[in-house]
Amino acid sequence: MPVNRPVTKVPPDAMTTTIEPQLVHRAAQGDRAATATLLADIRSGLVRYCRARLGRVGGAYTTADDVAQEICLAVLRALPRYREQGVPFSAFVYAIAGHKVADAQRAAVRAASVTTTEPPPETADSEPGPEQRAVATDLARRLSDLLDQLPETQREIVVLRVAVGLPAEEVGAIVGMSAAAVRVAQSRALARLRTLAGDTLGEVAA
Amino acid sequence: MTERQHREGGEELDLATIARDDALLDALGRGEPPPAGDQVAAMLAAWRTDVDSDAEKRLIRAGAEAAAPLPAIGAAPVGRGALRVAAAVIALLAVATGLGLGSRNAGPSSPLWSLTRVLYPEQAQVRGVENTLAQARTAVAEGRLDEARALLVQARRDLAGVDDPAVAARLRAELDALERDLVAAVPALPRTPASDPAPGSSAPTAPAPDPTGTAPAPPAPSGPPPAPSSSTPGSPHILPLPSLPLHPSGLPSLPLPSLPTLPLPTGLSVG
Repeated sequence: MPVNRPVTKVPPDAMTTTIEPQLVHRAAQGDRAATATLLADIRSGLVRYCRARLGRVGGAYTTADDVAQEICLAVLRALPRYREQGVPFSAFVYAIAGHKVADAQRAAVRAASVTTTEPPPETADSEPGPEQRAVATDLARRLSDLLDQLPETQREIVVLRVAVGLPAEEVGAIVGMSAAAVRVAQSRALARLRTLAGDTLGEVAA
Repeated sequence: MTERQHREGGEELDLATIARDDALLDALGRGEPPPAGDQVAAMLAAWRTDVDSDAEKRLIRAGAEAAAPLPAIGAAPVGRGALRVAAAVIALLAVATGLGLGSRNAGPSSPLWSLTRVLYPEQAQVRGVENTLAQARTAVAEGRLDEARALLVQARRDLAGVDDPAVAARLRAELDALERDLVAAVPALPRTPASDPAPGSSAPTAPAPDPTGTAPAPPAPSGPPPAPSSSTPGSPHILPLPSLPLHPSGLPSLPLPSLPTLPLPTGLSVG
């Protein structure tokens, strides 16, 4: 279903949300400059996606960033197969990203069953830095914990909507829902997050 | 619109809520600050900032960068360890390459000469021959013909150990030229008052440094030496070696250790 998406819907300062179809086309044709621009456009969104999905490992986002890099390469390799069929390019990119992240998570689960089930320690506690940052990192970690308690689709929607910053229409194309269904699901996710946050208020996180 | 009232587990969703949430998530997705008083929105915004690589870079630059890596749980520190090993290997290689390259051009008078003989035996052989030839040239120029002859014999013997045909040919040509010079220098000596007409073996080094004015002999200290080469009759130990063109056997053939492949991120534990 071709979505007639006016470009003006996305403000110009929103990076990586809408990719020019012509750019994708030229990149798919092998235009090097277009490919470079395209990669630069999708990269920061992919980095945020992987960090949001995979979290910190050993206190750093190194792992997530490596996976993001891998996804960039995979997208490049798959580019010749991409055909515009009314599906936004982001759907193509984040379908690949979803698979790669799932692969990384499966591998991590296998590794964790051998080594340790404890989550890796966070550096934020020992890290010197502005108090603001510690607070922000703490908030981010708490949200990450809360996200884990959401149903998978809701979590993915929140990641794509907030961390990546994609519009509801593109998220719908990625998760296979209508934009309206995405909006309902994200509202449910928010409501659930609010409930969970209220429940955990004052509790010491185990 | 299809969504009117949605009930799920007692959570009631109406159109206004859906629209408000949608606008909120749009704003947060653009990285805008959260509205005041909304705890979940604040958490989402902090999370959005936390996963933003650019924001991360800014914060890291502001704070202490060294605090990031943490010791040893999971595979990420292993990756860092491998990185450190790789860095050490590269540093070591750089030093070794520097020394190697330096020693490659070192002559026998250089402190790196012993290293040269180990790392570049061929190069050392060539240098040795060149050195001998230079000494012989000086000896010829100064009239120490016996010494020159002995040096040439030694040079010819050492030349057999030079494998590179181009270099060997060049050295041999030099050697031949020097022998011609030597032969040419021989007749000059008998005219000197030195008693021995046969300069075969006896003439001691510099026995007659320009005794009279009879001989336009090579050892004339004032005039320009007739020796064809440009070697200055200076002290024989600090020899201005002709800057030899590096022969094309090329860069040091140090066995480069293959760098450890960093572990793929798929083997890492996820927080």
